[in-house]
Amino acid sequence: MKKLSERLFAIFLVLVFGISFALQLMIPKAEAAEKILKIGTVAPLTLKEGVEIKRWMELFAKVVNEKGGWKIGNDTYKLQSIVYDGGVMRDAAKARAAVERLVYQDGVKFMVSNWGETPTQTATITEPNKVLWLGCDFTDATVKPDLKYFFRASGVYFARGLSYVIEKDFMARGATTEISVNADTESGRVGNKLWGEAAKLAGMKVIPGLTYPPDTADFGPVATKIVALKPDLVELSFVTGDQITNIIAALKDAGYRGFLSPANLNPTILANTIAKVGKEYAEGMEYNNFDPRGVHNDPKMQVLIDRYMKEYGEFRYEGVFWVGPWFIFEDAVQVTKSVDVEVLRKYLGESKNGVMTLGGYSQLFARPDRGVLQTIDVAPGHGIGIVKDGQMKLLKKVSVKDQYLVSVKVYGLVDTYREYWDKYGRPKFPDEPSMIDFKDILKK
Amino acid sequence: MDAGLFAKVLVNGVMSGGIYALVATGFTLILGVIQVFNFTQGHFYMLGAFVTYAVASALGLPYPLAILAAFLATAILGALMYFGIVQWTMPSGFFHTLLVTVACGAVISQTSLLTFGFNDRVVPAVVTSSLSIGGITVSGSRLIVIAGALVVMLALYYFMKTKMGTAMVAAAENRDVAGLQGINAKQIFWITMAVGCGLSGIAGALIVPVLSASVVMGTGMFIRVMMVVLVGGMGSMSGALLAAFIIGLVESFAYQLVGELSLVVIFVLVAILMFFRPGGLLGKPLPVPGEN
Repeated sequence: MKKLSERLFAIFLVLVFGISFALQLMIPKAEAAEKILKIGTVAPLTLKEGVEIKRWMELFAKVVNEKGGWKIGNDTYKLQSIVYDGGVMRDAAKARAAVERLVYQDGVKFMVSNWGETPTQTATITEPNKVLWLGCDFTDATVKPDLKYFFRASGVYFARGLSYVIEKDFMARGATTEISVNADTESGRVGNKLWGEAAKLAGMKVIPGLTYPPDTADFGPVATKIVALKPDLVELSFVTGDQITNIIAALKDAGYRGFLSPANLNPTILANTIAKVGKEYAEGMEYNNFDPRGVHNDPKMQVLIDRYMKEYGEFRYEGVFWVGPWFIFEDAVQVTKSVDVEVLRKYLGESKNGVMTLGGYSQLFARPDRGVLQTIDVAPGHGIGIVKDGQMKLLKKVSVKDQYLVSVKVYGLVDTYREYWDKYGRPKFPDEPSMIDFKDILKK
Repeated sequence: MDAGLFAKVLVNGVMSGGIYALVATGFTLILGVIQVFNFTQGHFYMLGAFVTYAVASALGLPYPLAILAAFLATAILGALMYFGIVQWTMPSGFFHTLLVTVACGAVISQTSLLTFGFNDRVVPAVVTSSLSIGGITVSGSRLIVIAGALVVMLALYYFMKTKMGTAMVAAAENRDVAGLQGINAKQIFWITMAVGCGLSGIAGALIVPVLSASVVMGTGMFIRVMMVVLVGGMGSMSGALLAAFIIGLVESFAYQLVGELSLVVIFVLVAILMFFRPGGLLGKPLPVPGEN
C-alpha cells in the first residue's frame, strides 16, 4: 500500500511539473520589456504657472502612453510624470525637499519643465547624481562650465528680441521714455533690468525700474508713483495674472494716459481689465502673445491644444511658455533613440536646430560669455499681440534668430560672440522670417 | 512732491486706513469682548468681496444691496462659526480657540479656492470719474471707499452707544460683573462675533470695486490688521482706528519715498513703537488669558 501511494505521489508530481512546463511553452513570448520612464518636475503648485505646468506635463505623458509609449530599441517606455510642489520663488527648503524626493526616493533621471525652484540649489543635487535638468533659471547662476547636466530649456536670457520689437513699435507710436514695473522678486528685478536694456537699445530713455511687494493688492501707491515719474510707456514685463488688471486699473485711477505693455496678457485678464477700465483705455496695449493658435499652425501642437481643452475644459496660457523643455527633451529622445542620460546630454549640448514647441520654435545656444560652449540656453520664438477693439490680435512674430541676435547686441556681447562664431561657426536658425541678421549686429 | 501728487498719496493712505480700520475694529471687538484671537478676520474680508461680486456683478443687483448682502452673509457665517465651533472650544482656553480659528481659516481658504478658483473676480468701478479741485485730481472710486468706511465707522460708533453696544463694552471690561448686571453673555458673544466678522465683510465689499475679489486677499490684510492692532493697542477700538489710518498713511507715503521697502519701514516703526509703548498707542499690554 505504502509503495502504491508513493508511486501515485511520484506520478502526481511528474504530472504537475509536466503540465506546468507545457503551459509555459504555450504562453506566447513576452513582449519586449515595458519599462517606466519617470520624468520629474518641480513647480510652484500654489501658483497658476505651476498648476499649468503640472497639467501639461501629465497630459504629455498621457498622450505618449496612449500611443503605446516610446519605443527605444527593444524596450517600450511608458512615461510617468511626477510633479512636486517646489514652493513659491525663494522657498529654498521646500524646493530642496521636492528635488531630493524626486532624485533619491523616486529615482528620476530626468527633470523637465522645472520652474520657480532654486536652480542653484537643485544643481547641488542633480549634478552629482547625473540627473538631466531642463528648466528655467532667471539668473545666470547656473550658467557655468562645470554644470554638465543643466539645460535652461525655457528662459528669458535670449528673449530680448521680444521686448525690443515691442519697444520699437511704441517708439513708432510716439513713446520716448520707458519704465518697467514688476513684483519685488528675483525674476521681477531681472525683468526690469532686461526690459530696460532692450528699451535703451531701441533708443528710448529708460526710467529706473519700479518694484512692489509681491503680496500687493492695492496698487494705488504704485500707480501714483509711476504717474509722478511721467513715462510714455509702462511695461509690466513679469507681472502675471490678476495683478495686471489691478495695476492697470490703478494707473487709470491715478490719471495715467500713456502706453501700456502688459507682457503676460491673456483673454481672461483682458476681459477683467476692460470690465474695470473700459475698452478705450485698453486699446493698443501690446503683449507677449502666448496663444499658440495664433503664433503658428503646427498640426501636432493643435492636436495637443485640442486635447488639453478636452481634458481640462478650458485653455489657459500660464504654462505654455514654461513647458517648452518638454518638446526639447522629447526631440532629443526621438532623434537619439535613447533614454541614456549621457547620450541625451551630448545631443542637447550640441544642438544645431530649433524644436517646435507650443510657443513656436525654440533652440538651445551656447553661452561663450560665461565660458559655456555647450548649447544650454534657449532662445524662444514668440509672438507679439495687440489689443484692438477689445480683442487680442496677433501683431507680428519674433523669430529665434531675432531673439538670439538682439539679445547678444543688447547685452553688449557682440565681440565675445563674434569670437565664438569665428571659431565654432555661426549658429543656424529655424526657417522663419526675421527682422535682424548677423550683419546688422556685427557692423561697427 | 507737488500738491497733486500729495493729494493722490493722501487719498491712497486714507482709503487704506479706512479699510484697515474696519477689519481691525472687527478683530478688536471680538478679541476684547469674547477674548478670541480670530484668525479668520482676513478670510471674512475676502468672503465679503466675493459676496459683493456675486450680488453686484453676477446677479446684476445694485451695489448698495451687495454691500448689505456682504455684511449679512459674513455676519451670519461669523455667528455660525461661534455657535458651531468657538463656543465649544472657549472653555478649553485662549490658545485652543486660537488654533481652532486657524483651522477654520484654512477651511474657508481652501473651500474658497475650490469654489472660486484662481481667477480674481472683477466688480466694475462704482464711480469712474475723478474729482478735480484747483487742478488737483483724485480718484472718485477711492473717495467713495473712504466715504463708505467713514459711514460704517459712524454707524458703529452709534451702535456702541446703544444698549447692546454698552453691554458689549461692559462684557469686554469685566465679563463676570457684566453677568451680575444681567447681561446675557452668550447673546453678547454671538452678536459680537457676527458684528466683528460683518465689519470685515463690509470692508471687502467697499474695496472690491477698486481692487478685485481674490481668494488670497485676506492673508495680506490679516498681516496689516495685526500691525494695526499692535500699534493701536490690543483690545482698544479707538486705538485700532487711530493706528489704521497711521499705518495706511505711512504705507502710502513710504512707498513714494522708498518703493518696495515701504513694508520694511512699517515693520521697523512698529518694532520701535512696541519697544517704547508695549501696549500700543491707546492700549495696555494685554495679558494672555489664563496667565497670572
